[in-house]
Amino acid sequence: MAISVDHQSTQHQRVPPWRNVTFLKWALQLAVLGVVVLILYLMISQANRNLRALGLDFSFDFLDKPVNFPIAEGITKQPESSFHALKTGIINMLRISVSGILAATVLGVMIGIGRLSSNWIVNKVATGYIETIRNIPLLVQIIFWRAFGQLVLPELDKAAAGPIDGWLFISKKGVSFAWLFPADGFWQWLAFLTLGFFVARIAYRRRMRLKEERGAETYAISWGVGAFLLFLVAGWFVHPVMGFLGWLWDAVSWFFGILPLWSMQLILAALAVSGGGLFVKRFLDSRRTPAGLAKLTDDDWFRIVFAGAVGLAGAIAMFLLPGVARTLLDWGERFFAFFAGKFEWLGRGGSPLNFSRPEVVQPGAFSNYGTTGLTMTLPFFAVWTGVTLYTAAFIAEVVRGGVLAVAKGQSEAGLALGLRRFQLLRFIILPQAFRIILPPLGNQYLNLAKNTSLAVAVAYPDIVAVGTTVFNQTGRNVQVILIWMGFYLTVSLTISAFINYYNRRLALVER
Amino acid sequence: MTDEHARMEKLLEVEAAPAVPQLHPMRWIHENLFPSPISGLLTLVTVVAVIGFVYGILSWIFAPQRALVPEGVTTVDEFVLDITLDDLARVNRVEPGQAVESGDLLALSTSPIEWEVPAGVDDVTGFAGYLLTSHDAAGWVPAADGSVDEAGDPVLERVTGLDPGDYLTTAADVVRLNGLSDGAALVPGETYRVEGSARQWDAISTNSRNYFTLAYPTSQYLRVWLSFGIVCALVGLSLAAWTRRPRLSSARMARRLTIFGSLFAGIAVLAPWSVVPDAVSIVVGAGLAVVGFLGRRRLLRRNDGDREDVSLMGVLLAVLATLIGLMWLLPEVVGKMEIAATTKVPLTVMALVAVGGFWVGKAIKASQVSLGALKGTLIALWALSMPVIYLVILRDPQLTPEGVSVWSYLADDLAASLVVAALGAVLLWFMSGRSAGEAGKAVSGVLVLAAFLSWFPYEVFTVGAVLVVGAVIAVVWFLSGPSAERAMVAAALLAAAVAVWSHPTYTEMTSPGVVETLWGNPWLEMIKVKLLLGGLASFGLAASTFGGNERSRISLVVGWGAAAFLVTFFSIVSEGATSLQLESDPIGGMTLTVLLAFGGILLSFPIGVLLALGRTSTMPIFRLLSTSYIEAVRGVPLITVLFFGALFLPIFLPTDLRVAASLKALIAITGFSGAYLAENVRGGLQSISRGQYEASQALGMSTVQMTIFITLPQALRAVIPALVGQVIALFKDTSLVAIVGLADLLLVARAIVPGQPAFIGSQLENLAFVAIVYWIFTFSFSRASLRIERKLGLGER
Repeated sequence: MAISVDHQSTQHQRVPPWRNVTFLKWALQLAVLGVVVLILYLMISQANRNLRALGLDFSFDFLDKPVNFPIAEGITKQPESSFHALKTGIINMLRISVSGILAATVLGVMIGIGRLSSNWIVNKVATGYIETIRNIPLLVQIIFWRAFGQLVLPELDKAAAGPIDGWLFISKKGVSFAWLFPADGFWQWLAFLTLGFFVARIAYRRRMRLKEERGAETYAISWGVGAFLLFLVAGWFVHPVMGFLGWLWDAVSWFFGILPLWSMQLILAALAVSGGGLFVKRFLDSRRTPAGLAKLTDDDWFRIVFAGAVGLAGAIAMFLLPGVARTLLDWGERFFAFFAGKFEWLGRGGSPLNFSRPEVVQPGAFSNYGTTGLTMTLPFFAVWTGVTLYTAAFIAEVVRGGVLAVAKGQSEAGLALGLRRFQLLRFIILPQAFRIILPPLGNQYLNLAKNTSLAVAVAYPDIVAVGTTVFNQTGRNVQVILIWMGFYLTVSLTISAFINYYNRRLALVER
Repeated sequence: MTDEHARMEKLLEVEAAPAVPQLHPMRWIHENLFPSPISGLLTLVTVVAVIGFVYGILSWIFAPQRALVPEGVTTVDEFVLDITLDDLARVNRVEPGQAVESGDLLALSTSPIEWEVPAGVDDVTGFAGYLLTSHDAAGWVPAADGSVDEAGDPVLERVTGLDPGDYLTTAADVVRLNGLSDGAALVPGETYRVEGSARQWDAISTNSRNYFTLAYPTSQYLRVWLSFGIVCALVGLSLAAWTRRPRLSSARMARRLTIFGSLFAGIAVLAPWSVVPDAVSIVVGAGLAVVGFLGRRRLLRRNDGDREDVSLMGVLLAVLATLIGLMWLLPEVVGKMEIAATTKVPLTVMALVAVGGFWVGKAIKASQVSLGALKGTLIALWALSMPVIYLVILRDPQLTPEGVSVWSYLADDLAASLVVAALGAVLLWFMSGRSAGEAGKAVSGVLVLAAFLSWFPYEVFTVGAVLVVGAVIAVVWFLSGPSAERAMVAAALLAAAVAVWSHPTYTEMTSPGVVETLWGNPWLEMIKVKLLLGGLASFGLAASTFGGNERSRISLVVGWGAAAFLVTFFSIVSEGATSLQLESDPIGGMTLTVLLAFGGILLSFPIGVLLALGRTSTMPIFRLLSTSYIEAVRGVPLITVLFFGALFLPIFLPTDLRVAASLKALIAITGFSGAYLAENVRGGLQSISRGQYEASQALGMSTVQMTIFITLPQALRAVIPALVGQVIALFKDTSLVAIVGLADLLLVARAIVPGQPAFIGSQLENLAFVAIVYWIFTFSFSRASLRIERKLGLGER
């Protein structure tokens, strides 16, 4: 190193490649890339050889072949194919994730606030909860809840079911309680609600503008909520008029049906290329200074070339793999046809929601829950309780951290302005705390979604549990593991994309 | 040094002990529990909920056996606990005499235990008879007098903590437990307590060996204790080395004693059915509480407020001594408990070893040895302890492979390592010189290439490796200065050795079951030589950074020698057959959990640092590779990675390379944790101010020197709390290996112990136990992390 500096400073001669830092950097990178590719290649070829020796091949054809095993719960109990089985597992996983995220958020925020409370005992209880739950492995907790249900909860007895007969049953068979279910007119009513939401938004904005202009109270929130409630109530009775949407969905579905394959491929390819192009344009914009475009380093060039290459590769792939476009077309057609079936002009006039109470049936020697009411089976109960309680402890810490991170001066200034405690919280602390809380909160949601994979330990049929059954039956463990990883990666990336989007929207606009 | 310490401590003492104003209890309650009506209501609700929760837990823990007084029984003397045919029928929803099939599970009335109906029994009555004759092992015995009740059903008694055949509920017991007088009248239909808990807590104490190491042979248990002793000694030494006379406030300790005493007494009051004699527990608890309360008042008055005046180590020592003392004395006093001497003696020795280690550490610290050297040695010892314990002590390898004479073994196996080590030393000596320059770099590049190619199972690569060595030597010659010539001579010697050693007879003695592959050069086939080449390559890369003057060159070469020795030693040791007669992995239970957690963190550390450096690097391809690896791994759950390791990895490897299940899990955990660690380290790297980079560049440091001497140490220091957090997460995550069938702590609790006929239905007890074990570990880690955080913050002020 020292030598090369001497050379450069004394005489301006051309730097030989083995002393050219840029050249060496790229040589090293390409060499390492080559090594990685080589290792991957060797491993894959070895895997191919091993699979062939076992009489297996690397294809996903097995997904469509019929299978013969039952699934304990989900959209189907007797899947027709491996694909159908995995789909059931995915929906089961999403059920637990979404309901778990909602419950954990509510519980976590409550405990987080309890942790900040000046009430001594509430504070201590919240702290105790967090320190206990956080320090015990989640898997132990899930298995514990399963064993708890199995060993401690009472037998389901038709004569003496409880604790609240007719409303809530808790037993070894799980938990069953009264619930509202979508019924005949649900989708038409939902269309009304959507309309109501937008109308309420417009009303709220208008009243807020008026408030700003006049400086007088305009009851903006009441206006918004009132408008929404109006649509909610009116829609309950007149929702069949929304049935005309059925024709619209039919038309869209028909359009997907007649759209030729090449046009879809073209659209997707154009999207890929323009995505790459957009990245390059934004990147170049960011490098523009008042004095013109800044000098691009080799790193910058790499980004530009890489983005362009990925865009182009995506476009070419759309034509090489027509299945992608075909699938999209098919899904579009089926999706809108499904929707269209839910709407009927002045028809499907029943109540949008059905209230259904749980029941206990006893077909033979043993009691079980009937089909009415919302039933949580024991494995679902174990996984759901486990992930909810566990994540709530982490969310509580996130909330606490976020609130504490708001500078003390903010609340002091608010108090000095004469704000009341609630106003201080509502207008000063929470908006700022929310900005800090959001990224780690998103991480916790991600963790919860990933942690549902532990369901396999208590035989709740999520994608991992169903997947193990599938590969035990078909021997295709490589493919199943790849499907798992692909699925979870998709879920993770989707959640982080959402979080990033909101994060950007909430971020302070800096100069 | 000590002067500075003293000054520092004085400074701290003044700052750490602000006088706490004493509040009147009523005022405290008003301010903290009932400041406003809503808050007061919340307090009441919480108190009720807490009491209900604690009561629920206590009654579960101590779950008393309750027995209903049957019709016709009027006095204590006639009262016996029984299981009737009607009970069996009611609990299982069958009619007396109804047919049952073998394999059905039937429950007994007063416990969650279910029994399988054996072959040959075909109705409920027969099942009761079966229970009568065959279940004394599980604690159900026929009444000693062989009595039957009016219906002619057998009378069964439950015994817990007693020998089979003992009476469970004698008249005297019923009298004592229910506070009756002898011969008092009982009310039919009323519930009375009988001795013993429905919880099978003895499942844990009986299985402590399974929890510790699972299937490890009892005759070799000395090895387990030896390993445990090594860890204890290291803990003692480290405590001495890293703590700076920490102090606690005696007044606060007294308050803790008060709380502990009142809790103890409170539990004894709430749970009068506990096995420990009630009155004694209440008196002991209350006594401790009173002592604590009075002591606190006295101390506060004497010290004029809260003051940190007791040594933490002294307190720990006292606690340890108390625990050991209780272990020896309590069984004598209580009478019913029994702790085996094979538990008592080793545990006492372990405690003594830890304390001894602490005193030795203190002595070393007080002597002339520099603290840095002590800490460095300890870190090295900790890093070494895991492989030594796992590979040498617990596994007891036989050093020479079977069927190989010692002489040929020494000549081939050891000589190969010796040659590489010696040639490597010569090479490193030249490469670390001041004037090695570009030639040195070129040689280390060649070494990397050779080390890499030596792993490939194709002859063309190994031959190619030698050819490449030759070619690059020519290039080096072309570039050479005087020292490069010398380096080149050494490289040529190495290449020559590679060529000369390629004699074909070696293949005959490759040890079975390890790496038997087909490829060419037999000398390079030895796994230890490949590892050594890899080590030499990395030392070669480091030579220009760590070299320079005579002293650092010597230490570099010595370091290489030590590394070469360790690589050789461990590869020989792990190749050797074991002298233990084991069917599978010798490791299970707690040992496996600890091995996976600490092995995982040790191995993932370098991976994490490399990935973090890659992700923050200015080289786009490295960034791309690291980022995609990190994000891909962080996007999937650990369980899929574990399945990947268990099912996928073997498909990628040559079919004759068999990897132990625990090793596969370790690899998966390492790869997983590396990605998370990388993100932590990245946080540290990004927190370093720009000025540090610029200053080191201004000093003329190379990128490698800047990373190793300036940025990385600061980054790692900044992320120590996050790293401890990662250790905690990993420790909890190791429980997942139970899903892929490894017998870690959780699997022992979940399947192995409740799988024993005597402890069927004891899942909750066992799970509660492992939950507490995990909790103790993770909680103490998080406390340690808090301490470190505070300490680091202190340093930065």
